[in-house]
Amino acid sequence: MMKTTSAFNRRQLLSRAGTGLGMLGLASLCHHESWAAVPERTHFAPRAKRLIHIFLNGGPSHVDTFDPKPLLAKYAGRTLPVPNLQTESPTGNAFPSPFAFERYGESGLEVSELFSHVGQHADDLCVIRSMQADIPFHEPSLMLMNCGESRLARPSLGSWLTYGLGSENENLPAFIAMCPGGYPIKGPDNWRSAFLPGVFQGTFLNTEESEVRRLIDHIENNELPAPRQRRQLDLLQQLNRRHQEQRDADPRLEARIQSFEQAFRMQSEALEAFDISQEPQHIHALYGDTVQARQTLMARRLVERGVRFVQLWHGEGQPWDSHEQLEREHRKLAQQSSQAIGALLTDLKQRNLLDDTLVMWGGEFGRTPTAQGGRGRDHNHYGFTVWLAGGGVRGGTVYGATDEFGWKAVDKPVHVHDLHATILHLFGLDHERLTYRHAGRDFRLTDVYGRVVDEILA
Amino acid sequence: MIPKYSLILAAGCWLAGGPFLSGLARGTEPEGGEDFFERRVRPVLVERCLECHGAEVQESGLRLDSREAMLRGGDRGPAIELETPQSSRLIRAVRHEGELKMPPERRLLPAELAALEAWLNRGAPWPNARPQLTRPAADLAREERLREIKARHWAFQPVVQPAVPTVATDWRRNPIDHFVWAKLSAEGLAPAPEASPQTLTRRLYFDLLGLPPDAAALAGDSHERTGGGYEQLVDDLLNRPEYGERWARHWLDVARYADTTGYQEGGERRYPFAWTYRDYVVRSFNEDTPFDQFVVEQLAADQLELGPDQSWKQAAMGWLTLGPRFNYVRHEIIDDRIDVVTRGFLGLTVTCARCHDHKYDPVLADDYYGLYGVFASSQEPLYTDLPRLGSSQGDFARYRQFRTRVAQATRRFEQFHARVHREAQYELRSQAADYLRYLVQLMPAHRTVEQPTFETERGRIRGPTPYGTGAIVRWQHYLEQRGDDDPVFGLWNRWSRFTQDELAAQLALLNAKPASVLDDSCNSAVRAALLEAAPQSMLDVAGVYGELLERTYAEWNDYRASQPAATELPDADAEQVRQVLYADDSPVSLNVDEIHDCYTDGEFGQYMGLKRELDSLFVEYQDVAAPRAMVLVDRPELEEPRVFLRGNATRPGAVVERRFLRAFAEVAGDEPFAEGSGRLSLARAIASPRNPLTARVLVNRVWQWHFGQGLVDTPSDFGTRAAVPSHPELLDWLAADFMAHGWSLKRLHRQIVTSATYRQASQASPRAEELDPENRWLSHMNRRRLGFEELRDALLATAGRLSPERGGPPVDELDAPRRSLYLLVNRDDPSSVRATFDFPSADLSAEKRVETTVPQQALFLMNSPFASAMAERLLQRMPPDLQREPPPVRIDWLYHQALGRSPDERELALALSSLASVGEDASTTMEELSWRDFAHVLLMSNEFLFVD
Repeated sequence: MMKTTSAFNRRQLLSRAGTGLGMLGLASLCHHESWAAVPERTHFAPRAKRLIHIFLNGGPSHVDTFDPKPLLAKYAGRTLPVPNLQTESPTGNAFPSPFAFERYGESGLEVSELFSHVGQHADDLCVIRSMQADIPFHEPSLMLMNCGESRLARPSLGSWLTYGLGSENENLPAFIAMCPGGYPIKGPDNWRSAFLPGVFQGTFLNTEESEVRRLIDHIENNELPAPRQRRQLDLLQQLNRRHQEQRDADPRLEARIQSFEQAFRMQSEALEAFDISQEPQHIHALYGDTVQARQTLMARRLVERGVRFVQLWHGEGQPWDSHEQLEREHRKLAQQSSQAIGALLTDLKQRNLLDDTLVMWGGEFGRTPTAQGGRGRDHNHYGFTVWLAGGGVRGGTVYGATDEFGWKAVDKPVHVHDLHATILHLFGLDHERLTYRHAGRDFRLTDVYGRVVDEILA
Repeated sequence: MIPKYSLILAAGCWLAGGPFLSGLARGTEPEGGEDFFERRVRPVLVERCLECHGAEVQESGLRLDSREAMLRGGDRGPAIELETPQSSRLIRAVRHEGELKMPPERRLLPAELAALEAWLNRGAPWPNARPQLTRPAADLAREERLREIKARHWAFQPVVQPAVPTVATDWRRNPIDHFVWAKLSAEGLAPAPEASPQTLTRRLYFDLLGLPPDAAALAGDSHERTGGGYEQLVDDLLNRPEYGERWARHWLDVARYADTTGYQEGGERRYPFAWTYRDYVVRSFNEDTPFDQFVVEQLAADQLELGPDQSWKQAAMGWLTLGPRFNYVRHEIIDDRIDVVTRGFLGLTVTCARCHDHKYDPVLADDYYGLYGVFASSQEPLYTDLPRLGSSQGDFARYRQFRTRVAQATRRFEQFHARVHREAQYELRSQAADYLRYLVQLMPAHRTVEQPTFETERGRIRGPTPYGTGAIVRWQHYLEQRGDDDPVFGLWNRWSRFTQDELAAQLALLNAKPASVLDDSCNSAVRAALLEAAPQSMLDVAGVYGELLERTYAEWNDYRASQPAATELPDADAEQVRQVLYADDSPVSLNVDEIHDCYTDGEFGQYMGLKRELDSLFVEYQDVAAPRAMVLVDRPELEEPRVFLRGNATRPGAVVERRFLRAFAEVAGDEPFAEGSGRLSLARAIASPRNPLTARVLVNRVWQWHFGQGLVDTPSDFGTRAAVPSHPELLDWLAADFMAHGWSLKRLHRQIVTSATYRQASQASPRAEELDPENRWLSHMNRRRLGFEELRDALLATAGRLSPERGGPPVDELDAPRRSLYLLVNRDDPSSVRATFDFPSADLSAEKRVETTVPQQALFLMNSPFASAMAERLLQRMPPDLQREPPPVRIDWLYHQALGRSPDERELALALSSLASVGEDASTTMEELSWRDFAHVLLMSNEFLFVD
């Protein structure tokens, strides 16, 4: 457990450690201790306070985006001089990237034309080219990337973060997963709280729905006008106070009273937070008008309001899984999101939010340098790319490398567990000490693994 | 290529702390070389190295179980150098100095490292008497450790009923209070006064029935409360059918109950008959089935002699079969079953021993795989073969349609089975050489490639898949059974143990001087084949054997074509070879059930497709299909479990017995399970009165469900890392008493709820608040928030909407008027409303529910159409004559409905003023709405939501 204050019993602590949602009202019972006093709860000074994870589900190809492999051209259409690694299905000859790479910024970081908008921010990016996962299959790799464990039901990164840190905004869910069109593969398992209390589960929003009022369950009362509902709550609270007076101010009763107040405020605040129509025209123009752009802009509004973790899935199912026609598919997908991602970085920066907002980009794995079905690529967990920006990482850097063809991480490999350890570290949490007792032992996000990649910390 | 998922290493059960080194702590006598080895070094090797570098597995071709093996070394060269001991590979690796870092997962402790270094400096003395570290030596250390752990921990000692302490107080109603008082006075605390009759009535209703008392119950009760009134109420409530519905839900949390399979690729995810298990639990609680019997039924109802009036009990096995399906990966399904059984009944985290012996509790990896064998030897029949629990119903034409479609699907199924059986059988015999070559790749001394692959020039051999053990293990097993003097495979076995050089010498000799290698016992066909082929390596030998088998198979097919009635080949030696392919114990002669274990991924996919087609018919026609019990049955051929090293199914180790946890031999005897899969024996061991855990764990759960907090605060973990019991003597007293009185739950409830402890008010004294904020010593009752089901049921009941219908298939609409118990539990889509109210995940057995307070709960109560509909309904229930009465009378009626009492003056005034303020300038309809708003307020109030 995190550091505890002995005067609290466990139940209170549980609520306290909760999302800001769980926290509301408990602040007052905790001697008006401010929930914003996060550093007291972290193991060391945090560099990041919020995380936006852009999840290219299906697995974006690293050799076509952030890890150029010119040598592939030399072997184009021929077998590579090294044996093909085993992936989901056998792959064939070398498949050089059909996309042009260009150097950006002072760092001269290479980014392909697919993400030229992101390239504009090269000097803020920390590109980890030596990522590794365990298995070339979607489901276990999604679980690994999100929950740190391929098969067993474990809490997700977002649940751990909110369990450890709570929220900075009591009126919004602390952990939000957005995906246009429906669930990604494995659905809610990706943002589950497993054995952590249910409050730490991610709140899912299908951003295909553009009507803000329908995004969140019960966010609005369709029958009662707000003033009437206010009067209703006033009476409720008066009765509750009376009930509470006869019960020596039981803190749980107080928490409940406060939770109604918080809910009342949430109704307007949440609607406001998701309402991108309030953004000026130039901001809309900056992000673009795809559904991915819409949810990316929402993410900015949310982190601005203190939401801890926003996960942006590209779309239902596994859109980035380009086994065939990769050139066409990747180009289409990148067009849907590249501008918005670049805009997000611009926008966070101009609002001075990038310093303590960590942006992470990646999929559950990368793709093979060799071809599948002639024009596609298979899954590749041996080596792939994830980039980070803001939130205390060293910008304009490339960390680690895959081999000359992009098969496998060979220089300074970073396993998903290491990535998790590093993210927690950026949030001021020691991945070995952020634990939860369940079924007889202390569990952590990184199980028995994980190394903080100190070299990428700013 | 390695099969899908086999790359997935089982997750290590993470456990902090160093390994238990029985040798390090003890012994003060001077340590001579060999003695030093035995005490300090052998344990390190056994604990930390041999799992990967021992007799069974040799990673990188390295063994560390003899001095010779260390000197010889592995693929990287010698492990130890006696000249320069400190630069030995072994030392550099364990110091993590070079690129090679061993052990890979946890570094050696400084003491362990020091022991290895000191031993090498002494010239690596190794006792001659036991040149190799054999399993028995290692096992001995492990079993000794097991005994030590067991002896030290309270929960592993037999339950002995302690004497009831004598206490000098009138505050006591039954023995429970003696124990509680003794603790309270020792802590300097006093019990709270008894709660008011109304409070107690409401508490009992919610606790025992999960429902609010109706107004009549509260009114009738309060003036009748004298003498046996309370006890009578308790008995009445325990006899009501709603009791079973309430308490079944507690048990379903432990059972990780759900109506769906959880994530799987495609196909039907609903279990059509999960609800028969839910209804079984309800009925068992209502009938007060003795708990020991309840345990046995849930594990092995299929093996009990159940009379016709007891056939409903077959549904009990849903306990095992309703877990998540993990996309049908067999090891995970079995792991889930082991988990629910051991944490659920025993409070032991046995699944921690999946990858290695349990680091804290007396559970060996062998124990885990012993239980694995029990479940691997059990199987789920197809839905068509499940026992029926009732008759079909509804529209007959539709039922006929159902039968026809089932018959068609079944036929496709059978055709598929027959085809795969034929094909696989042919493949296994006609490609025998590929299997033997694969076996060579598993021999560290003879393998020729780093990564053995299942791909061959003739296609893929049937290795293990996530769904079955595959055919390779059958060959392994077969060859292990052959002696060195076996006429066919004796040579193979002897040669496979040679080093590469030794074998090369033998094979050279075979060419030069056959008689010195081949003795008379050797089958002449084998002899001829070997001499003709002149093999150079073990891989060649595999080719010779394999081609001989394949040739014999072809010969037999030809022979049979001309002699259809033939039962054997005319040549005795050829016939002996043929027997390898056809005898009863042949590794390649499979029945339809065995072939299932050898499916390829593709065949399994087709099989699942057909199975899903069949399964989904039962969901589609749920309205007419007869309900069935989701049982397990024993497989015709039982599985001999092997330990999977580090939990990795592609690394099978030693064979273990199907048996109960060996640390608890006093429970089930020190013998392996003799009957069938062993499920019934396992059940009996768990339900045995000699089992130190079962009754304690159950009694503690029941206590927790009454008080909100167990005497042991980790209800599914009674191991050495469990929470310290607050009242250990009380726990043991209750457990002993429970067993002595027929494991009756209703008796246990009665005991608990009639105690003075339970009847306390829920108000903590300032002193208790300060000294015992968690109320460990029970100086007052715990106030609690209604759980999801209670809240929803209370809303329905107060609105007069609660349907009295019981049992049957689940309903999928939150707004349906059924009790919440009957709502569909969907693993895939944990309903946000339920999760918001702390409904536990159905992926894991849940030991308790957390109680959180979040605004989404308030949003549901404020804004959901359900909540406002309940307020509306409540208002509509008001008798017409009352509706004409003045507002205070109506308010009084609403208060009685929602909170079971009249408002006090202040409350009445508040209500009147806010009603007036809304209604001031409003029309009649506006006023009606405001009455609904007011009713809605009562339904959201803390008094409604909490139980004192």
